[in-house]
Amino acid sequence: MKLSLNWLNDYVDTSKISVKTLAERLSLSTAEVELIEERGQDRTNLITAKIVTREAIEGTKLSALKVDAGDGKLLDVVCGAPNARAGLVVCFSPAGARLGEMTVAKTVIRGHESNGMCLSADELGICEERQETIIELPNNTKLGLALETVVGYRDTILHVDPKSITNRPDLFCHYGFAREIAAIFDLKLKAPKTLGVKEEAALQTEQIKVKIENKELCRRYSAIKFSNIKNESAPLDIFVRLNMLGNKSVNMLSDITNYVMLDIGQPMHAFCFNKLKPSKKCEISVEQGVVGTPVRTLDNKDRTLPANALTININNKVEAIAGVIGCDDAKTDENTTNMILESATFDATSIRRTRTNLGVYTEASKRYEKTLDPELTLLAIDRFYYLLKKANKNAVVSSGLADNYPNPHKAINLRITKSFIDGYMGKESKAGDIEKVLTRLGFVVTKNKTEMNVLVPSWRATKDVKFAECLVEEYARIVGYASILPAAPTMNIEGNPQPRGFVVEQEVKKHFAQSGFNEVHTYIWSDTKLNQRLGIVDKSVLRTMNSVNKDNNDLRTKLYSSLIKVVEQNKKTQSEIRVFEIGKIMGSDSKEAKRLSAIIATGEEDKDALEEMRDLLHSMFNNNFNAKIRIIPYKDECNIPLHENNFHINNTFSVYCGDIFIGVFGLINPRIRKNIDRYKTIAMLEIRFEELLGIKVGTTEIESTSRFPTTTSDFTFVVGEETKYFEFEKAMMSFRDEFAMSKRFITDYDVGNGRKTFTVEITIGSREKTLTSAEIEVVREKFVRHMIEYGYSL
Amino acid sequence: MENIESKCGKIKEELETRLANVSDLKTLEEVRIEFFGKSGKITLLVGDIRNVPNEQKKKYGELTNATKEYAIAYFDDKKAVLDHLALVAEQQNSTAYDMSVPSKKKVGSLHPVTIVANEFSEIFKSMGFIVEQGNEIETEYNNFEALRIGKDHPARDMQDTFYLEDGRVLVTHTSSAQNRIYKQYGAPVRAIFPGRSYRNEDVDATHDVSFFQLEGILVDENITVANLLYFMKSVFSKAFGREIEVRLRPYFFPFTEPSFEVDVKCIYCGDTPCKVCKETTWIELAGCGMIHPEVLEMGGIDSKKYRGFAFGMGLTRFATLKYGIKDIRELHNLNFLKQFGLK
Ligand SMILES: [Zn+2]
Repeated sequence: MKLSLNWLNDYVDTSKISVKTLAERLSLSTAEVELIEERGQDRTNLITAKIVTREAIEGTKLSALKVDAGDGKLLDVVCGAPNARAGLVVCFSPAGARLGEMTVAKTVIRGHESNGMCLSADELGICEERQETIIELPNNTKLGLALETVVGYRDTILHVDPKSITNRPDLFCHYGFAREIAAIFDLKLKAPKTLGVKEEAALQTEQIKVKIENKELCRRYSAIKFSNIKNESAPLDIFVRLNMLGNKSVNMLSDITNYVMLDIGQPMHAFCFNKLKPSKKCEISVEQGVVGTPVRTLDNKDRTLPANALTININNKVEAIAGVIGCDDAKTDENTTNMILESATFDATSIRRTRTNLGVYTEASKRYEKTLDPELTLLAIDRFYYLLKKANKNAVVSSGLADNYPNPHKAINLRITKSFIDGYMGKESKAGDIEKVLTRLGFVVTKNKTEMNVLVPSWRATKDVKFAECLVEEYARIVGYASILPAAPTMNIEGNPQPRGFVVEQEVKKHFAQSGFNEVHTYIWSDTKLNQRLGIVDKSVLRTMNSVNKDNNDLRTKLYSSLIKVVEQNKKTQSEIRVFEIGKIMGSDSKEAKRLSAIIATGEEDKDALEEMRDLLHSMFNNNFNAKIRIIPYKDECNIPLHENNFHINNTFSVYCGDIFIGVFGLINPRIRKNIDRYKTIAMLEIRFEELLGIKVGTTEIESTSRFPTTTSDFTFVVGEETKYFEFEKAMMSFRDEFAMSKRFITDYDVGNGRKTFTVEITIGSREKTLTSAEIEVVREKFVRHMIEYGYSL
Repeated sequence: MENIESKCGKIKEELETRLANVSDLKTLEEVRIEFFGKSGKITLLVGDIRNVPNEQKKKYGELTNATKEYAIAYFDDKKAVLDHLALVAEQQNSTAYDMSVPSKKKVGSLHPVTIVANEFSEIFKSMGFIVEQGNEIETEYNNFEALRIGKDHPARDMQDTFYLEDGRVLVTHTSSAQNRIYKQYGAPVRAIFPGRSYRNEDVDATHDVSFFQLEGILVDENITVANLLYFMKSVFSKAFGREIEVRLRPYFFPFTEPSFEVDVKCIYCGDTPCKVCKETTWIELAGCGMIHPEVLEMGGIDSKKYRGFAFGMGLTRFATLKYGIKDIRELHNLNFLKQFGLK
């Protein structure tokens, strides 16, 4: 939001405060000033002047002028503006004056000497678009005056962050900020100038009828008629201020309504009374329009009414979409001599919905959405009349003041004490200071022995200040948060025990990173298009309804599908990829779940990648959970055939810790690998993270050792290459003997010809005695016999 | 007897002369055999006692044994020197490996956001906070209503929030975990909850549809704005490793009253204001405020008895600031991420 310093100065005298200080204090007490924009400082030596004579230069659109710049001498000036005419008082830049980058110089155009320029609004830096015409100053303007004393082209524009004041409807205007500045610097706040429209209206016989059908959506509707209007272009000062803040000028009536809005924050609408049918009658009805009704809005677009839109109907015809935009057929134009002025308060939500449905976001709707103060409507009418009268001195009030106010403002009173405020801030306030500061902001404070009653002003009472806590902020921000000093609270000794989730996540991440994997963060949704292209199956159970990208609607059910995407996206630059992530997926039960996933894409052999993953898992469980895992061929543990065929038929494995299924790993299905077409091997794993939190740390069985000597004995069994170790292991583990203390795997070896070997080691010993070699031999033989029973021989 | 004394002296002298010229272990061994071997000169000398008359045996034994001890000690000294020289020579002749060659062990990396989250969680833990985790999918109630963001609040517009088919949303801020945490822990409580949020907006250099935040709450009796300021100052001082100046600016959040933005004095400014802070010398790093009494009540906490503050900071933003990341999209670039290798 932009604020003009010239404008603010109408209400509070900031001349003793530097702009920098002003911006800083506003930032620290009210809302962040994001930018200070100096305008017009680069235009110097400009003066007022008068065109004395004008002659057309033949064959061109140019005129040769004689210009009086106040010193009695007549200067020759060539000008191209169509409105250059004798008698016109203009903004003049004599030779030597500066206009931004350019210094005005004496020139000769078409054989005519030119000693300066008559300026248009864009040349003066008031607006951006190129203007055909030059600025017309009032006829009675003195000549030779420094131009900045006549036209407000020099100004400081403060850009305020609107996000920090969405709760402050009173701050979307200059008067509101002037009030803040006055409170912050303890300066006098001047009231807006008015003429007393009420008194004049009371004398009128003609009346406007206002009926409000839906009192919830329209708290107040005030209206009045003005006549004897000459609706030309807006007065220069209004034109300049609107344009300097980036608002386009339309015509006088429309410009004054906009001016009042930027001035005191009340949006208004001007209807052309001349165009109303039947004429000479004005019956206004505020009601919800019929959905689908065609309307042409004043921006010359044909629209249809959305559902539940509040409309302003005059003489039974829709003439405006309340609070958003007026209709074309009653808009004011140069022929408007009588007008109806609307000044109303509409419901914020209704306005927001309607403007969203219509796709029309206007300055008026922006303000209504903040929930405006209903007490503002009459002041706005008064202010409009004051400005109208300044522009059109013959304009008159021509109806009574209609003011339908079915849902009046309710006073809010809050009770506070000094100790409450001090206790909340953690700082002792000066005696009497709270009342003073609140009063400066417009709160009415009455004190009794123990507490203060604070009446909230209407402009802060719509949804902003409702709680005593709000007054802490009001006081503290104005005196300045810098006056509060940091203070440690007394520590509550009995803290809650640290939850494990984050810690486990940290440890697991560290383990993967230490094992050569790079952590990535992918989104919670699938890339449907990519999944289709690569042949990844990820059947979504829940979708977002409104993604910017429609391929991102499906929430993923597998984390690895996102990691495959990472591989695909990086394959051009990476000969080898190892990435992992801990992220969320949408479970089939429509509950979100956390997964740990990793992927290896390399030029190595399949087995190398699988062994790397196996070893990674073993060491992770060993190091971080002191727990052992079992790995066996995957058997549709998730009730999904091989994870919907994203994995390899022969080479997918289930990971168990105790009896709990923890996750899977294996080779990617060759279909996907071939579609990626870059890596010899891709292996991936997906672990159910929540199951990791359930693991009892330290479940590894500890065997007590013997005081007596023990012997280790190796056995190498020859098996078929299709034999799985976990089956062999079952047989081995089922061997029981009082002297067989432990059994463990040593190595496997491929001997060729369809055969391989498993070498295992048995520790033989006793806790009671030293075994004889005969006793040892008995155990060895028993073990070999046991294994032969299971079909395994040496 | 004079004869024996001079004989001993002669042998000593002979050994000394002999050893003086020995420079390798092989020659040393020859000398050992020559003097101490079975028929070595000293062995023979000592053994010759057999031929000495009995009355002279004592004297002879004393003299020759002394000579032998002296000779052994002399020999051992020489051997120690040569052993040492041999070890030096062995090392000098062995291969000198080049360990300046970098490690071939694969080095992985943590995501910069993870690194930053870990740092902050350690800081908060040291101040008595527990580290909780929020959801990425939440009910509208938890994401909005429980934070006083009413049905018609602009933040709930379809264009900003990812709505799911079942009416839930992808969380738009980590504050969405507040209500659940109040209900789970009650008061007093100190908790942070780092997590991920989503906004349905276009991706550019400074905006991603998803970003990481760290939210925190502290609820106890008599909590003040001064306490909030203390924690913000402590946390950022610890994060930057030095005393940091902090200030509060007014802001608006529906779930805190009053609400603030937290600025820290720019740590990048040298003698002149810098670009990081847009030459303002302050950097905004967090939003915070005193928890609105209605928010506490909705979480089942008695707002008459307890007060608290809540704060939220952008982990993604903090990471970009810390590592000078100009374009947030770099965080999806594997080559970029690989640089955050574990030390
Ligand atoms: Zn800086």
